[in-house]
Amino acid sequence: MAILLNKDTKVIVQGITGYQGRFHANKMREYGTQVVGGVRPGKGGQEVDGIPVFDSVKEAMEKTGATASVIFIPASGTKSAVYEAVEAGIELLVVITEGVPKLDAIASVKKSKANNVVMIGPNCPGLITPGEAKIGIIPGNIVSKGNVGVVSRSGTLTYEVLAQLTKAGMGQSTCVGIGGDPFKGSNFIDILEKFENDPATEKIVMIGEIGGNAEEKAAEYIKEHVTKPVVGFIAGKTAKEGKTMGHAGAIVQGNVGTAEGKIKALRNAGVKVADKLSDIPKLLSE
Amino acid sequence: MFKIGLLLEYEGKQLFKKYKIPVVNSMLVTNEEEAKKASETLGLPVAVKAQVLSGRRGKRGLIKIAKTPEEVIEYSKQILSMESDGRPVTHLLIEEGADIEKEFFISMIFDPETYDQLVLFSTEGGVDIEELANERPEAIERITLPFNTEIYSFHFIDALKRRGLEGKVLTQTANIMATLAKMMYTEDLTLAEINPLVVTKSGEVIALDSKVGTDDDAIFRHPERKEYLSEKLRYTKEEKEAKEKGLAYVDLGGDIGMLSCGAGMGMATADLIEYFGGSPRNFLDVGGGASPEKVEEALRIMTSVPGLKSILINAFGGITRLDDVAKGIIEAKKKYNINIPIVIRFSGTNQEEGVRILKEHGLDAYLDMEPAIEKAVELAKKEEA
Repeated sequence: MAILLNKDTKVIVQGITGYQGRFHANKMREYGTQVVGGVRPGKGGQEVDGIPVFDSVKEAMEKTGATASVIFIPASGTKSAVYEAVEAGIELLVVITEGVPKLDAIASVKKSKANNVVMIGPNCPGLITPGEAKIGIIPGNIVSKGNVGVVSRSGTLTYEVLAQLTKAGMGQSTCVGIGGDPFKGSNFIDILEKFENDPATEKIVMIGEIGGNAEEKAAEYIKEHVTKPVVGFIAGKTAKEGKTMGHAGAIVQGNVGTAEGKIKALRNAGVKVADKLSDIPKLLSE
Repeated sequence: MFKIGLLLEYEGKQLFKKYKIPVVNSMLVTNEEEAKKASETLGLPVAVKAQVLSGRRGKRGLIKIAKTPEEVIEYSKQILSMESDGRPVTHLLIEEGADIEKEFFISMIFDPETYDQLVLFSTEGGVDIEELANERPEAIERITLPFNTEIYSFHFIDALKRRGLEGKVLTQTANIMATLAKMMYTEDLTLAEINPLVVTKSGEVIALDSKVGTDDDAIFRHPERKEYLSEKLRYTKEEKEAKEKGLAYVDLGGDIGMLSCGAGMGMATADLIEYFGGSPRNFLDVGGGASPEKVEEALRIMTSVPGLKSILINAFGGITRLDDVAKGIIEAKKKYNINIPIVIRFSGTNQEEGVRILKEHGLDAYLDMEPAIEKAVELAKKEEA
């Protein structure tokens, strides 16, 4: 067991003929993911490194039985790619693309939610269930199978944490990079809930950063609903005062978004917050 | 690091004009002579308003009301000799005076929690709204419009009536709010704010200020914004150069140059520099999968800033190839004759090849990030002593 993804999950790649799409389709397959097809309108019937290409998501799903899709489409086309996948009936959608306009991101999230699709991203590294499969760009060689669930807002920082956990002999159940954009498909709470309900996950690591109030909301949620031990880390303690989101932002969110506020909220919820990344394995084993 | 693309007041008002939100006549000038001419065209009194990105201009002396030609010249000179956001004030908006009867406040965003459009309104505009929100939150009306609502002025009428608006002022204000709310979609705005929205003695409703935030990621739908003055003012020279090359640079003011592959990693590295007693000069992120050229360019931009005492390169190779990073470092060191001590941390993809390249050129790398950061801090302190 793990969350969202295992070795049986059938995955298609939207934008498989692009440089990134092709590169990572291969990396995913090498890791063990069932990459059963790709989508690129106009190139249906072709193959990319042995992976069949289809003209539409609907066709790809019908012919391969895929239930998950990963999007490597330029930002300007991401919204329509999300809509296409959702309308075709996909269950899990991972959007790697960065720089997606905010309105397009909101529309994509709303569309996914309305259709009960789990969307991860945009601007995220994806997810990996060690020893089974990965969707996205998390390097396979830094993870190991185990019982720690990892959820993170940052990309490279996630890799650093995964590598340190692996080095310390602490394997992971699933690692989900939810992405750093303000409007995203899944937030900390969505993933924490899944880890809490996943028998394979015994401990949780949560990596946040400054800005917004997702960590504060997660802290409230943990306090109420999470029984498994959680270790946290917040990046950006030295960053200058958050750039203003205007009065409406400040009034709605209050004085939140600073590393200090987030750390305090998490500690109040019983989360052990690491001062340095290298403290995470130690806090997990306490 | 998320920055909102705030427009200058006059740019926001140009948008308002395009959508027929009433504004008073105004002219953009760059010196006191032009200001005087503008005031002759517009008629006295005029407001002399610095065009800068940060707020509270009135309190900072960056807005003055001039009643005579002499005052126009005096205030223009004065404001143009001032600074804001770490740079000199270069542009003034000379604006027709308005007979103010009442001041309202409107602010709109996409709610970061519900992702719906949130509209705030108060009849107590012109003041510090955040203070008002703290002291008397009931003075602020909140209206939520589900995302992608087809917006009409009727959406605002009930709320405005509750706040005592009636007649022409009620309909005009509701129309302005509907227009502004629709603009957020058509113009890809992250923030649309008018404070104050004034009712004049003759009963007209006019936007006297504008605070408009644009979405940088949507600039491909609004290519004209690349030429905006605000786009030029928003970044320091280094930040701008970095942006053009697809790098992220934020000035932090310290003395340790810092390069990372990935933003979260960069923030965590900056935190650790401070944790060990040092002070980062910058946040410089080459992103994932950086090419040697990108690393080289990043180091050129970093070292163009004076006062660096040490350089820290923290690279975790996920999709980034560390041999590529090594090549970029060696090339930059040669080309730009970098003599500042460089501390490197390499871990991940093609690490052995990367370290081999470094060693060939007399450099080495740490495997773990914390010892590397401590070393960079130590070297910076040594330079100081």
